[in-house]
Amino acid sequence: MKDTFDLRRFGLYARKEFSENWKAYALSLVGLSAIMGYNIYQDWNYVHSNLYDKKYPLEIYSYLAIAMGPMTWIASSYLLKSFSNRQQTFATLTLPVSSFEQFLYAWMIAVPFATFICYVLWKIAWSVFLPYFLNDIPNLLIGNDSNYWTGNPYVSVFFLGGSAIFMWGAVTLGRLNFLKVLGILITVGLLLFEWGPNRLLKATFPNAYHIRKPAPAPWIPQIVTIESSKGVFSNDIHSTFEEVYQFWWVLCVPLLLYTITYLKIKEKEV
Amino acid sequence: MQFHNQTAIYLQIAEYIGEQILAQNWKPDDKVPSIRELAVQLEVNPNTVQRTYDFLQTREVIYTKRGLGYFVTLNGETNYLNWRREQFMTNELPLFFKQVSMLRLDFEQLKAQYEAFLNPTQV
Amino acid sequence: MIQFKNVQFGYNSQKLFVDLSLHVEAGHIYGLLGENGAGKTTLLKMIAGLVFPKSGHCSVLNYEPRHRKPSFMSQLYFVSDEPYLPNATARKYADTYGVFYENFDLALYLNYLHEFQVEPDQKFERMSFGQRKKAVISFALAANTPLILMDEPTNGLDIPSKSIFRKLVAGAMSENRTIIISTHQVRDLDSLIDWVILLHQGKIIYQEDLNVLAEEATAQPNLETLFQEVISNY
Repeated sequence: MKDTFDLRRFGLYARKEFSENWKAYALSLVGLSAIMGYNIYQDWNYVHSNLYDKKYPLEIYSYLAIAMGPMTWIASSYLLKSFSNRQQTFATLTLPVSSFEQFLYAWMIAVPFATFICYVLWKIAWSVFLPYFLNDIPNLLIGNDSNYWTGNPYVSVFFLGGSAIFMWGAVTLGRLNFLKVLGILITVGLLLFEWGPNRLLKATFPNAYHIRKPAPAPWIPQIVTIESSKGVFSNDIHSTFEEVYQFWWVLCVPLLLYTITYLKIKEKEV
Repeated sequence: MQFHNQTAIYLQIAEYIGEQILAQNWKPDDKVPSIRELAVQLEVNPNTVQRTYDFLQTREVIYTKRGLGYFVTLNGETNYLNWRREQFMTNELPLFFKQVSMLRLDFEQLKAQYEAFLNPTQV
Repeated sequence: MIQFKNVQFGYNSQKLFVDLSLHVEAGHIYGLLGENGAGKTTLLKMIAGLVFPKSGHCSVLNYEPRHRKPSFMSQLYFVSDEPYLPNATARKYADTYGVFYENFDLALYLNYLHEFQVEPDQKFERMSFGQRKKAVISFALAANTPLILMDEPTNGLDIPSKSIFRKLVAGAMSENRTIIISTHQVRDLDSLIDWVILLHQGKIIYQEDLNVLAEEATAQPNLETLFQEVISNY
C-alpha cells in the first residue's frame, strides 16, 4: 500500500467527504446563485437608470472574479473544518488516509473545483440574462476584458493566497477560524496599507502641510503627494508587487502557506 | 457466570466443566464446547479457557483430537472427582476443621447431621 | 508488538510520562489501569499516533505511530470514550468507512449490531449515547484489525450490553489480535482481561499476566485490591 498517495484510497476518501458534506456544497451553490442573481438585478437597474452612460461597457467579468475569491476562502475554511474541533480531529486523524490525501482533497475542491463551479454558474447566469439586457438596450457594450479581471496577478493573490491563508487558519486556529482569519487579514491590511504608511510618512516629513496617500488597494497606483513649504512632491512609491517580485507574491507565498498547512496537518496532535 | 476470588478463574471454569460431567450432561467421548465457544458462553478471555483445557488434559479429564476438538475421556468423571477431592482435602477441609474445633463441636454430632443430610426423609 | 522505551511526555510544561517503558505482546486482552489523570487516555493516544513523545522511542506493529502512515492506521482501531460519528445510519457508516480497513467484515458488523440491539438503519443522531457507543464497538471488532484500543468501552452501556460486550470480545479474540482496554470499571471486565498494566506517576509500575499470578497465588487476584496494593507499595 502506498503511504503518501493511493488513487483508490483517495477516491474512497473523496466519496466519504462528499457523502458527509454534500448538503453544505449544495447550499454554497444556492448561495452563490443568489449572489449572482442579486448582482445581475443590480446591473439591470443600473442600465435602466438615468445614471447609465452608454459609453461605458457592462463589466460582467468582474462578478466572476469577485465571486471566485470569497467562494474559495469559505470553501478552504470549510473543507478543513474537521481539524477545527477536537472530536472531529480525532476521527480524522485516526482514519487510514495520508495527510497529503486529506490536504489534496481540500485544495482540489476549494480551488480548482470551486472556481470551475463559479465559472459554470456565472456562464449560465449571463447566458440566460444577457439576451434580456441586449433586448432592452441594443447598443449595450459588454466588457470583454476577461484577462483584466481574472488573469491578472492581483486575482491570483486574492484567491490562491486567500485560500492558502484560510486553509492554514482552519488547521491552526480552531473554532470560528474563518472569522479569525478575516479579522487578521483586515487588521494586518489596515496596519500595512493605512495606519503604518500614515505614521511613517508623518514621521518622515514632520513639516508637511498635507500628505496625500492613495487608498489601500494594491491595484491603485501608489503615488504619494506631499505639500510642504519647500513645494509639492509627488512620486510613485515602488513596491515588491512589481515585475519579477510579483512571482514571490503570486506563487511563492501561496505555495509556502500551503506547505505550512500541510505540515501542520502532519504534525497535528489531539 | 459469576466468578469469585477464592480460586483462579481457570480452575473455576474447570469446576464448571467437571460439574457438567458429574451431572452426566457430558458423557465419555462426548464433545465439549470449543475454547472459543466456552469463552463466549462464560464471557471469559479465551486464553484463560485455554489454560483450563490444558489443565484438564493433564488431569486426563478431557482429551483432544487434532482438528476435531476436545472430548470427555473415558475416566473423565473419576479423574475429575479425584482432583476435586484433592482440592477439597487441601483447601476446604482445613477451614472446616478449624471451624469445628473452634466451635468445640463433637465429631459424632456431625456424622449424625451428615447422615440426616443424605437421607432427608428419615426423621 | 508495542515497545515504548524511555518515553517522556507532557502537555505544556507539566510532565505526564517520565521515562515510561512498555512492552505489549500480541494475543492478549490488556487492562490499562491508573488513577484519574494518570494519563491512560494519553498513553492510548500515543500508541495511535495522536500525540507524539517529547523524547524516547515508540514502536507499534513495527511502525513509528507519529508518522500516521495509512498502512499502520489501517491496522488499528481506537474506540474513544466519546466517539465522533457523522450524521449517517449505522449501515451507511460501515459502507463509507469500512473500506479503509482491508479485513472489514460487513456481515460480522451487522451481526454485532444485532447482538447489541442497535438498529442498523437508524441515524446516529437519533440514537442514545450508549447505542452509538455499541455501534462503534461493533465496527471496531468487525474491522478485524490486529490492534484495538478502547477507552472506557463499557461506560454508558447498560448491564445486559456489558454482558454482550464481554461475549463479543471473547469471541473476537485470537492469537494475532491484541486489545488494550483502559478502564475504571474493573468489575465489568475482570474475567476478560488477562494482562494488567498499571500506569502511575508517569511510568508503567506494574505489568503482569493474571493467569500466571492466579496460579502462583492459588487464588484469582481481585483487580481492585491489586491496584490498591501496588499503588500503596510504590
